[in-house]
Amino acid sequence: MATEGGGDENPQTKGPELSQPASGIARSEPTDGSQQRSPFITSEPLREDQVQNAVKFLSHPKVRGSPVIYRRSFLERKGLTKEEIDEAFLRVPDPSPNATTAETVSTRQANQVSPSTSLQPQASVQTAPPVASQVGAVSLTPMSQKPRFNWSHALIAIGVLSASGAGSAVIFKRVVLPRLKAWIRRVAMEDKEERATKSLAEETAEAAKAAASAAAIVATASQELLNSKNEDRKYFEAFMGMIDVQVKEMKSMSEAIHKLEKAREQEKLIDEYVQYATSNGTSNNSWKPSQANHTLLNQVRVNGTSTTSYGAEGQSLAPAPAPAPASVEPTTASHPKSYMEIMAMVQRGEKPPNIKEINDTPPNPNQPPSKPLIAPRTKPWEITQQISVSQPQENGQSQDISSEPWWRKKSVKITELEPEGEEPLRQLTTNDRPASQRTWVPPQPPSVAIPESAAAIRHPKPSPPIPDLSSGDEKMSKSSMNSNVVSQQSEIEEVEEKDDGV
Amino acid sequence: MPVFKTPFNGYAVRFSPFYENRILVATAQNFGILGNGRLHILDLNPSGGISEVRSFDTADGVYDCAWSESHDSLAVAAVADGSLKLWDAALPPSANPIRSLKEHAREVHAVDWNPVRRDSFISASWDDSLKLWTLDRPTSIRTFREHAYCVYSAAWSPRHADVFASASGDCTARVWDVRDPSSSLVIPAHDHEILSCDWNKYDDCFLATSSVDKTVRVWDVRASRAPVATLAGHGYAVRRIKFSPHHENLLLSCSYDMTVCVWDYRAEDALLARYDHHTEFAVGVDMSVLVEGLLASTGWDELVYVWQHGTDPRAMP
Repeated sequence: MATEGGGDENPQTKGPELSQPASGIARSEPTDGSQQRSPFITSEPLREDQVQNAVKFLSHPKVRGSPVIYRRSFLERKGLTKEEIDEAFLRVPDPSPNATTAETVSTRQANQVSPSTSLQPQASVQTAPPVASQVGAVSLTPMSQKPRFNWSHALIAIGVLSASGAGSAVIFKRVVLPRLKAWIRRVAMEDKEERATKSLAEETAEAAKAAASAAAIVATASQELLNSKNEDRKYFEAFMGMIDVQVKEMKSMSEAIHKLEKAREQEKLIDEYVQYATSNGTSNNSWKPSQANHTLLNQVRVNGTSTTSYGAEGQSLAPAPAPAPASVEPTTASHPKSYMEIMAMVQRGEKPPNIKEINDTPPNPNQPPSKPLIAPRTKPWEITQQISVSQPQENGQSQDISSEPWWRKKSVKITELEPEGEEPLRQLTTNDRPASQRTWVPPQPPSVAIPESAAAIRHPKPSPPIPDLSSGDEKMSKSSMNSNVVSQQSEIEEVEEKDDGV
Repeated sequence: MPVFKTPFNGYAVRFSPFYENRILVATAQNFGILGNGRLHILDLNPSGGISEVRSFDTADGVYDCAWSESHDSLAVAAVADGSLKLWDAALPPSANPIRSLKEHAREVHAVDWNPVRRDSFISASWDDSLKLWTLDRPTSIRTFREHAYCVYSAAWSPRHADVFASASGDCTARVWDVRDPSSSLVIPAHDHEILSCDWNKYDDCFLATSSVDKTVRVWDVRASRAPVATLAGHGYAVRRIKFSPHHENLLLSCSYDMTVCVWDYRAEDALLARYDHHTEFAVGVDMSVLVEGLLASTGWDELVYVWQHGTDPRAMP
């Protein structure tokens, strides 16, 4: 209302360029502003050109299809007065109120048709804007002809539209969707039936297989159980047997211990007897049972002297007291005792029975050592320019140098060597046979390609070797250089020495 | 090859540096747990047997022995009662032993004579220390106490007069110089106890150690972070190793798996030979300095074998 007044006044004062703030929506709401229009009607004559323009505008088919409210607002925006707009509406071949009513009717019909014909569930959404336009159109019709707005009309329109929309939605839900669902289900059920029929048969087959395999597994498991039971029984029996054996062994050991104790006692008695019986028969090996500081038993070692050169006298004591089994050779007496038995005895605190009392203190702590008979010999790895050893064997022992002793002979037969060991063995053998000129000829060294270079590498040749000084040859052949060169050198020297020797 | 039966369990064997057919054998009764000991001097007969020349009894087991490098008849023994005893085989039995050097608090496990100076020897003991001795002094000259556990072995360097190496149960091997107050080099050689060590006779920078972890490792003392070679092949702890006096790369080892093995540590396939003649722990080995390729071994089966490398120890000559 007030807006319309304002809108009417504005075209008077300002030009048609101003855009009217009044919109169609504002227009649709005025209640009784239509009667108040009368005092605001201007008395200006109609502008014919404007009216004609408006007629042309309204005659446009597109404009015809639009709501009246928009046409009116557009024209007002263009600066037309109320009279001019009405005049244009009158002039248009289809009168505006009728046009509007026809439009409303057509729109209504369209709206009514659309929900009934559309199959999509969005019809309810589509009904909303037509509802709004219908409401606008409905409200516009009374406004164009008689500017009266009836809420009852609007309510009726809303009700009708909502009912139609609801009805269409209900129809759709009840009829269309079930049909769709039924169709889809039909299609799906066909597939499922086929599959169901197939899967049933498969399932039964699989179930049968599983049952069979389970039965087999159960059978094997039961068999294994039986087997393990049998094995357990066997182990148990074997274990029992072993326990029996051990019990027997322990019995025998305890018997042996008893016997040994008896023997000890007997020997003790015999000891004392022997001590008093013999006068100075004791040898100079340390045997002082009565002066023992140890608190342990003194067992006489009846035969510990067979291997000593000066213990022969001790043996005279031996044969007499020999009733007990412990008086046998100490080697056999100590033999049965194993390492663990000794350890056990020691841990128990017992002393093993074959220990002698020995005095190994030096009789003369300042005893000077005897004069050496031989000067120290140079080592093979020392650089030797001259042989410091002239006579190797001047000892009291019988030594046969001219004939090869067995510890110098090397048998070429290789019984325990691995194949890779043959190479160094060959080197060993070649190095050891220098100038002995034996029947066995060492193999020719393969690396004597340039004798001059080999000669240049070599040390100055030492004095010719003494034939029976076989050890000296080794020193000559060795040097402090690398083993490769050493071996080559030795081989080269052997070759040369052989040539010299021959 | 001849074999000698000792009355006690064998612990060590050494070839004499003077006589090529003489060996020294250290034995201990009852596997060395508790009992007497005996030191044997044996001769190899040209006819093929081994015979005993002398033997010396001790109150406690003898764990190691060494010949003197200056006197051809002098021998030193490492005794389980913590003493070192010297014997002179040229003197009558009434004069022997000529020295008893008792300073260690626990068993002496190893003794080695200096081959360069020839007048001194080093002893390694279970009281975590090593002691340096000479013949003319009744007491030790120096004590080297750095190890944290038993020292199992000591070996003089073949070239440097004052350098020796030690192997200990604290899993380290140490190189010492007698003139220095502390060790020159510490090599954490193994993850388990190290039972033996020996120097390469030809390349004085190489030291070999053997351990309870069944391996033998060769170390370059100039670069001791990683071993030059690790020799695996024994089934149990390797008890003793000896570098060959004649060949730079050859190494002899004996082990609790009752075998004696010969190795070439520079070869791709290091194990050259394995001798399984023993029926108990093989505890002592030696290679002769005078006779090339002559090996000797002893073990807890109370047997001493002497044979040429490449032959069967049990075959008769």
